[in-house]
Amino acid sequence: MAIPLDELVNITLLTVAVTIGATALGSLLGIPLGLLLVLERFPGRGAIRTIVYALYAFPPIVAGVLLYLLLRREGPLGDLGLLFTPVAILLGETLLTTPLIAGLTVSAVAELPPEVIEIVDSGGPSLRQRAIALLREARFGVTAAVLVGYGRSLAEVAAALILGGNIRGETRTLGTAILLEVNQGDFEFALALSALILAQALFMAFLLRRLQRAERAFAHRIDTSHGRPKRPTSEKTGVEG
Amino acid sequence: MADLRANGECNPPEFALARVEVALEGRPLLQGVDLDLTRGSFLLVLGPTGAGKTTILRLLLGLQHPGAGKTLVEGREWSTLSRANRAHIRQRIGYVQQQVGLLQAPALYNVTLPLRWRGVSRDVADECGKTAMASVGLSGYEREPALSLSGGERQRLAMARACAVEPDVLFLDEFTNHQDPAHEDLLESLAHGFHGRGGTVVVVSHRLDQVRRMATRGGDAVQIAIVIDGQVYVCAWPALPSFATEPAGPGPFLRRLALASESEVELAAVPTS
Repeated sequence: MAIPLDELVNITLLTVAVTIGATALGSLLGIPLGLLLVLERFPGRGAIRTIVYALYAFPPIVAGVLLYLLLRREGPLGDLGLLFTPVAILLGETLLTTPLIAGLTVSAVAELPPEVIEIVDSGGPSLRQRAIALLREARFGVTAAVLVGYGRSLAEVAAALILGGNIRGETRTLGTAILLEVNQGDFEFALALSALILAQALFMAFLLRRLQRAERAFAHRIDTSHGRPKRPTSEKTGVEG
Repeated sequence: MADLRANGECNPPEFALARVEVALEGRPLLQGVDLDLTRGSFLLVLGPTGAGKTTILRLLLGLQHPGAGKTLVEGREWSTLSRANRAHIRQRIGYVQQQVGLLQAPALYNVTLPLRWRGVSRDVADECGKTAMASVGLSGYEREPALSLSGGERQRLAMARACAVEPDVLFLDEFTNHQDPAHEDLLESLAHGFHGRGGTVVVVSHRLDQVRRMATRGGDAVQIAIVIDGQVYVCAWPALPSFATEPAGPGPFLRRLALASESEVELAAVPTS
């Protein structure tokens, strides 16, 4: 084995932590940003939306370079000493997940039926109550946005390599470890590491499928486990329209 | 129904449209419309489909801003109100949409959410919600997903939601379209009962039989607003036949409506010449 088991465990754990961290941070920033962009009118909204959509295709290598310039010793944030630490990787991945989650949140809320938005507004909610109600209504789309963000940062290599440096025992992730194994010609082990990443991706796909099934079952009122539920009959009178 | 108001009486705000103009994708919809909705009034808005009846409700609710003119509530323009003030006024309005919007949640949740927004405890809100649902014949449907209800049930759920908040104003847009006669009568009775307690009611309808029935039952307080060709013509119900004789304005529309009506009781007084 090219990597001892305990090191492999550490690499996997770091990868999972960075991915989950970047997804969580990206959600914390991206969902409110998305809600702001879709629910509020303010000058520059269109321009910000365009930038967010453009950043869907933000090349990780560019994100890595930009953050590197900020975090390097001579850079404006150099004093923080974050370069070549897991935090630097986390920040880089967050830069990639945030616009994606924000943009997909915009899409999810914008697709809500206008009569639903209208009835929420007509009830006189506060800003926060309105955001929560519509977010709840768009929950399936927003959850999918979060999972897509997770996929974006899962074992991402370019930014992780530039910002983390692939330091053994410190900033090596599954992605950068695979790169190293390929460079050293150990394809068998690189494949084994790839399988670990694929397992995570499969888990994500499984989650997404479960969500979609739940949504379909809900929309069409199909209870997949117990058959069609009985409707109450006590107050049913007359012909329903 | 648990009473959320201190004294049980309605104290509806006054609404007004002043020289309002609205265009829909470049096509003028409303042109210089004036409309006053005084405290405790009962207005039946009649007109052909696409005339702008729903738009008038949306303007009154401040959900839509006019291209020109003013939409006023309590003498102040909707557009100048703070978010908190807008919310406060809307919390006094119950709104039943023509196309009912429901949340993907249990029926009771849909009814109680506006109550929860104003700080009513869950227990009290649930109690109010159940009472309101019972009043429209939806007892036992509390836990049903709202989206699984039929068209008529959805409409009644919307009525329950509008009434549960103990509003001062009811805006009802084609609110009995999907109902059988018994439920239509039930919903109309709720509207009349609400008006009897001092509330302001605006009913949008394109059906003469309904306008006639509600106007007759509502008595002298009822006013009719006919929306046609971008204009709004307001009159009391007894004056409607005189409108129908006019060669222009709402005249031709009312004569067509009376002619198209199959029932002999439909606006019997309207000359069909």
